[in-house]
Amino acid sequence: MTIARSLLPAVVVLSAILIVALLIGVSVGSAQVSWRDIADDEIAGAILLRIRVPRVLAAALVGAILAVAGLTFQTLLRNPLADPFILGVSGGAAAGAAVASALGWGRVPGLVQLVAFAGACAATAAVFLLARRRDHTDPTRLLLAGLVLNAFFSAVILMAFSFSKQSDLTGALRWMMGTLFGATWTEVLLLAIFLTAALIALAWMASDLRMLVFGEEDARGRGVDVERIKLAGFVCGSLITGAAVSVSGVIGFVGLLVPHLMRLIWRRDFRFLLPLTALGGASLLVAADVISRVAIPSAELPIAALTALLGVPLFLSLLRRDL
Amino acid sequence: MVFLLLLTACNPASRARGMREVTDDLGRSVQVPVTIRRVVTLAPNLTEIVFAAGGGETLVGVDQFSDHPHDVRSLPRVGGMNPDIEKVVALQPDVVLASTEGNQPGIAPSLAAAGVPLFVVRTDRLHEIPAALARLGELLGTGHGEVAASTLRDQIRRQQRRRDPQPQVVFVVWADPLYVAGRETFTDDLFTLTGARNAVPVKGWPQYSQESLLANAPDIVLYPAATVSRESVERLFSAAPSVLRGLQIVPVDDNHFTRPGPRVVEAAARLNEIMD
Repeated sequence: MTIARSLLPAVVVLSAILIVALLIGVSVGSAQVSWRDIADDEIAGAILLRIRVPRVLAAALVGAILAVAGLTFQTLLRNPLADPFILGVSGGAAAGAAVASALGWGRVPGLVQLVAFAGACAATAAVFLLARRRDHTDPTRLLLAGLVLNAFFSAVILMAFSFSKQSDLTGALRWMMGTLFGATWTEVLLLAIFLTAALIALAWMASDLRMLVFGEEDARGRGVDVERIKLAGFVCGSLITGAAVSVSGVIGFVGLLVPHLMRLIWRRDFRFLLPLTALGGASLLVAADVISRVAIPSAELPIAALTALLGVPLFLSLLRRDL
Repeated sequence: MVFLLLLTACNPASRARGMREVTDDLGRSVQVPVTIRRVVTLAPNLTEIVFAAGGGETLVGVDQFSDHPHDVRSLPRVGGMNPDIEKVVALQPDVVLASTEGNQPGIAPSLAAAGVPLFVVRTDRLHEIPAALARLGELLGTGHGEVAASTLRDQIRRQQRRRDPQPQVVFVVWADPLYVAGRETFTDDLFTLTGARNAVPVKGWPQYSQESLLANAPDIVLYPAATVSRESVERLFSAAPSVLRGLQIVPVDDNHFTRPGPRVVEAAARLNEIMD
């Protein structure tokens, strides 16, 4: 009850920001079409309802997922640097996509996405197994395992590129550079299911996850089954990251930046941060996608470059104040 | 690096002969031997241009994408956009030919360090292709460059058409994400030559917006059959079934349409065949 009450103002403010971002997202684009025309102009209707709206929604969902995954990994590892990229989860997805493209699987619709998703899950499993020692998962070992796996995945991607035809290579680039181009309603639906399920699961574990802030020993003392929570949290974070990366490719900085921003503005309590981070991540990626769509008329800017350009100065200013 | 220096040191052929100074298409002045006997090309269109200019016998190495004419298939390969510099130097070329668009700028210092002259050729626009024929004929001293250039100019002129209304054309380089041939490219010049109009309003080879693709709906979509699938092209238009129904989607030979060499004439002929 008290949580709900103190959360309310922040949720209202962030929801308002997200709604504004979504409205801007669906009203601007490279084609000059008006919402008034959708009834009698088929092309205007197609552009707005079947290209622009699903893309804006996919941006919101991917942004929310990456931010929530970042928050979850940071909480589990009690390490401010943890995010899907540093732990190798997105690297696994990108390597999966690159290998699948190099094998020429890009011609079967959805297959490369599926392999990317499998890559993210495989990467998590690998990180976890590498970091595990005598029934215990050490956060430092987890980060190091992620680091090593990332190096391995970069090598796999480079190898896949060296052995693939120039044409297949362009297909794999989609996952390396990150883009929301061509997002469909089916993908929006899938992302929404993944995000909702993860939010419910994480909210259910939120009280236990919150205890991890005080250290694993302490949490264990308070009756938290630390290993089980860690495994559940990791599976959650990886599944949603896999889903996001298989749609948008690798988009960095959202998972790192948004949780820190929210922590700075509100409290460090996981129960608060969960909804706020989701809303903040959604707004950030919708905004970045708008810029990537309209900065150059009729052409597109790579969105991952934009999130890094926005993210680096913001993150540096956070770093100077307090991390 | 030591290996490169050693190789240069034991390459007396270019030392002994006289040198001359030429200016390449980037405006760099390049020292090349008076008579050029050994040439390495780093892009497939340059290989084709060298052959058409009558310098085919001088080729001692080509890039990995060169596949035309048939004679090049037996030549040593030196790699792709990032060529194997050691291999290039080991072939002891009198000059290495690179293109402005396809090759890494980083290769120039490595080749310079090895004492191998690099000559960069610009073939971004249609009129630059016959010009390159003439220039390379002159550089290689084939005595055939000017003739080949004017023949190619004539062949190109014969493909010139006027059409009313102008068919709107899009050339899809890659479908997801969408890359297309934009304005001020040799592919765009081919459209203009054959009486068509590029439906893409952006310059260069942009990552193109799907909204703009539908808003500036084309009549004809061309795609390279070897690298892009018909389904992926159709998927781009699936949001607007009426546009898709009225669309002529045609597979073409990517080597003719995306390789700025003498065979662009065949691309122009194909375009006319599609639209006539």
